[in-house]
Amino acid sequence: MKTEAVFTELARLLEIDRVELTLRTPLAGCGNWDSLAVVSMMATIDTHFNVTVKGHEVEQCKTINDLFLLIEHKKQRDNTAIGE
Amino acid sequence: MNTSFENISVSGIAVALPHNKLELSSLSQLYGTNEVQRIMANTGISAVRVADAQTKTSDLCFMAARELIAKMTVNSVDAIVFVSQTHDAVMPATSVMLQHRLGLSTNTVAFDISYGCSGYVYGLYQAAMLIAAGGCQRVLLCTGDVITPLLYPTDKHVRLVFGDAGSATLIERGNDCLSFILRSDGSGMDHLKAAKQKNEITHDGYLHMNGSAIMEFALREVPKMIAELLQVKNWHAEEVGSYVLHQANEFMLNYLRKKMALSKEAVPIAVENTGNTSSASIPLTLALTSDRLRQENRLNKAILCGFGVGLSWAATSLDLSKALILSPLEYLSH
Repeated sequence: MKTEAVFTELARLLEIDRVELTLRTPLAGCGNWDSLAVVSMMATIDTHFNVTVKGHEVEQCKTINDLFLLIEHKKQRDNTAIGE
Repeated sequence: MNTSFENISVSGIAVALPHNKLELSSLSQLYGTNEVQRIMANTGISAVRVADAQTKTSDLCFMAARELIAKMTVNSVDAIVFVSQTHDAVMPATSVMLQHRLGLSTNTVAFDISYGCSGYVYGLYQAAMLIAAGGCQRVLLCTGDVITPLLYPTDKHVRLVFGDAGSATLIERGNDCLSFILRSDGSGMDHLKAAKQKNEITHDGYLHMNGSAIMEFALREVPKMIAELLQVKNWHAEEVGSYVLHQANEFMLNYLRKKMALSKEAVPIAVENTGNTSSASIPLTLALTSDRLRQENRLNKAILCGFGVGLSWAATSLDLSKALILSPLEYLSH
């Protein structure tokens, strides 16, 4: 569900059919992948995964898979912090 | 800084907007129709007000202040606090020019504060301090900016967002208790800035905004500060009728609202025809929505929160149910 929310938002932002998006879809190079899209993605990630990502971290993601790796990395960091 | 001031009330608010309205769709040729539509759909802004070359921030504040003083039949003002990033001149202070123009006594204390989106709450804090210190019965707070000359013509991310406005607020001895939380973090100074001198090659001197960094800052700090203020006041989130936040854009406001689990009715959004008006955005939102807020009994427990350039962020809690809030005035330069 959470993963799907990211795909749905990306489809909206990039103006690409959801079915055309895969983990390997490149973000860099998509015409609409700009600061507005980055800000929307930060909000989507915060809403659905409850993790705060930074704008420049999202900007560095080259593919959709990179976005999920970033989320995983943040979740692990947050869990470690709670564990401490 | 967390603090509270007893026996102080905000008694009146007025706002003036430049008459000239820029429909953002008219910029389609410059930025592309799809691009303008896409940005408008996200920001919720379809038009902004733009001051002409003759209009200064003080003109807008003067109009708002003169109308407010007349409507409230005020016969004395002990201090003027002018909050802006677009002061009329390097010197003298714009607040002093306003003292003279408004025909106020030379006994008036007047000074300028340089602040943007958090500036309205900072101005209220300063006004409350002046009254609490004992020297002033009534303070006129003027906030606003004529920011459009600082928008680089091809920078769509600022040109499709920012507009001009000026406000006037009267704060006086009364029965309310205003609590404040104020924060600063200069490490984010580069996220929203304009250098002193314009340079057409480097674009220095024009407004530069790192939208994602500001978004990240707002998401991180605003809900936290409002939760803290609710705790200070011992208020439940639901009993606050209005959360009047700085009007950055609709996307950010909706997002903050959802994050704080607040109702649509409690978080007015008034960016559609005016955009982001910096330190005037909170009083402007009140001027545009107070009829509904009053009708729904949402003004007696209100929270105002500004956030942005600095970085700087601040919130206050107050009762606006007895305040006179005028509809926005239109400024036409002569």
